[in-house]
Amino acid sequence: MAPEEALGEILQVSLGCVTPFALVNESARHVSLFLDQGFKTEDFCFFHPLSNDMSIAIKACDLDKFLKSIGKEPSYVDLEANPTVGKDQPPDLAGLVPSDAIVLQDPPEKSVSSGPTEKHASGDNKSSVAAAKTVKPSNNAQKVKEKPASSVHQLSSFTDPGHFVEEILDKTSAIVLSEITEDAIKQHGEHLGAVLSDSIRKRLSLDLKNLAIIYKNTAYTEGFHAATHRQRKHI
Amino acid sequence: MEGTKAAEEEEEQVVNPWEVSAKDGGKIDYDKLIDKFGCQRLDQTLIDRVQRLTSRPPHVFLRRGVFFAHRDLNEVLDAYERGDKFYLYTGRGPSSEALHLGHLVPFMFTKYLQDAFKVPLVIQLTDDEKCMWKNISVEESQRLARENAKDIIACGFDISRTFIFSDFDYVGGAFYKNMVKVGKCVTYNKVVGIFGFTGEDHIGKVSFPPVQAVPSFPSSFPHLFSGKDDLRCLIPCAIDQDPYFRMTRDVAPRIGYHKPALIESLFFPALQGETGKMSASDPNSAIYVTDSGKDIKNKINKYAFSGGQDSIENHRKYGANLEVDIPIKYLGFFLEDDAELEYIRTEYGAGRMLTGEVKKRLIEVLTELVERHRRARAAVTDEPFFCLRRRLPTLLNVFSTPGPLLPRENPFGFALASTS
Repeated sequence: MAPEEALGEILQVSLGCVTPFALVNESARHVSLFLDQGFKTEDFCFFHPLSNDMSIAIKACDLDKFLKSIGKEPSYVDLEANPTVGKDQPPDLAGLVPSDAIVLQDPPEKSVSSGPTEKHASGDNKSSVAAAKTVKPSNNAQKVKEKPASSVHQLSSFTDPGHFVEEILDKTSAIVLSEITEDAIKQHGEHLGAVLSDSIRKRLSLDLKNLAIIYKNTAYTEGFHAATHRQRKHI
Repeated sequence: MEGTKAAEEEEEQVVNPWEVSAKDGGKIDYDKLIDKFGCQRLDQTLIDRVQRLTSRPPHVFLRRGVFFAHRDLNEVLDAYERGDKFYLYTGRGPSSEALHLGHLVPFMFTKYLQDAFKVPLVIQLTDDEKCMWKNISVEESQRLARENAKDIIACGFDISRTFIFSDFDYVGGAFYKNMVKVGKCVTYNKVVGIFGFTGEDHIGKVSFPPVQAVPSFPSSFPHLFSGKDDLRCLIPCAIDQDPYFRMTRDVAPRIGYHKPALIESLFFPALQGETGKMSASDPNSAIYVTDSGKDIKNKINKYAFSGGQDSIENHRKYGANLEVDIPIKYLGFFLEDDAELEYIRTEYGAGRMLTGEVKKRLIEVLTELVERHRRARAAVTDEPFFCLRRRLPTLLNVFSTPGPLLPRENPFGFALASTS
């Protein structure tokens, strides 16, 4: 993921204004352009000009003409794809980045790529890649900043015992607090404990079991991963 | 007399793995289907037996009659009582990227069976079948299989007891040997009779049925079940898959294997009603696991077929028609609490509760389900673990002697996020 500063420095546009037209700037000389292949089949595509207070409609073939005129060759790829990237499979878009592309420093926060929100090519986040998207780039820039924090937290419940336990306790506390009301005390009196206990079981059982199975699967996977990596070293 | 009989037969409902349609665009007649196929009704005594054996309440799909038919379930339970375990086999044809709730039904039920009986499970992704029937490329079908596998894993299967495979990846070796054995036992005429192939159908289709048959035999999975040829298999599936397994059950004794047992479900109704068709091209005919809370609310409110009366006065007077009401049916699938469902049915049927309230409750239930699924799916990343040919460790206690792990490079397969 490109850091925010890159937007201003390299593309010379403001937040929420990622656009292929920004490549007209000299500072964007080394930026590779990846466009989603969906653009090719559309009659008209909308992009922001160099500011995001309006949008321009342009045909895909005319966009190509423009890009060629400034010496840029666009690559049309499937930005929705989520290919495996690993030891034996390098990022599939790496080959499309020209060798004189500048390498940016890794941004400080870690962003976890989770399906629906992130539509950037997964893979090596060290080369600077500007990916243009359909109609609303402004939403995307903001969304991408917010999402990683919460999705990392959600996923850490499955890997970190501390977070796992916290989540269970949070859910249980929420139920306890919601069910101990004046009315409930009046109604059940000394049996409130048993009633509450049943209620917790009923309401949480399914949820917690689902959480636990994902936790187990994750732990198993990590163990398997560790074991197979050890084996590989010996070969 | 003969003329009318022929005419009747032409109007019969059609149920096979590639087509499901009711007579005259009406509802599917499940009693007739059970008769025609020759399977058994799943009655209350069986459900009670399952409850006794597993020491836990039976799954909501059993209680509500979603899984309503079976073959030889009693035999499997007899064996289980004697201490002879069985394994589960289910599958999916990855024809589309987006799964809807109807697709999840067999997997939700299979997960329950795995947890309740503590048995191993194999899941087949028939990417080759979809490549042939849907005429998509090999690569595309494999890609869809990968994506679908993530949703399947998100249903919460136990990785230590589950093996997921795609046909393109796995067919070969012992699996293929069984395919040939099965193939030798089924004539061309027979397979035409069962599946309705014609002279125009290509030979890929005609030779496909053994692929779906042989996961019922433990020897197809030597890395899981070696030495245990008499292990029984139980197959949870929708009732339209019955033809494959009728064929398999016919062949099994001839090649020295147990007949697989089946436990079969109804079809999941489309949003527009029983007579509507759920179709991939109409996103409003079903709730997808990728739908947002807003989408779900919108689809249920706008498209879910209501059995309520057309005006509030009539509704209060006559009550709702529960037979055709889709929200009630969906609640029957997904609302856990029997007492609450009964209450809603009574009140709505009497006209005291309005359609809007029923839909509101349904939206809550579905949103929670979809959200839980989405979260679980997000935890699945791209590593080959469910699909590696590894010995399933719990089997070590029950079956063969311990052996080395058998990792293998594999093109897809998933493990779970590790943030280290």
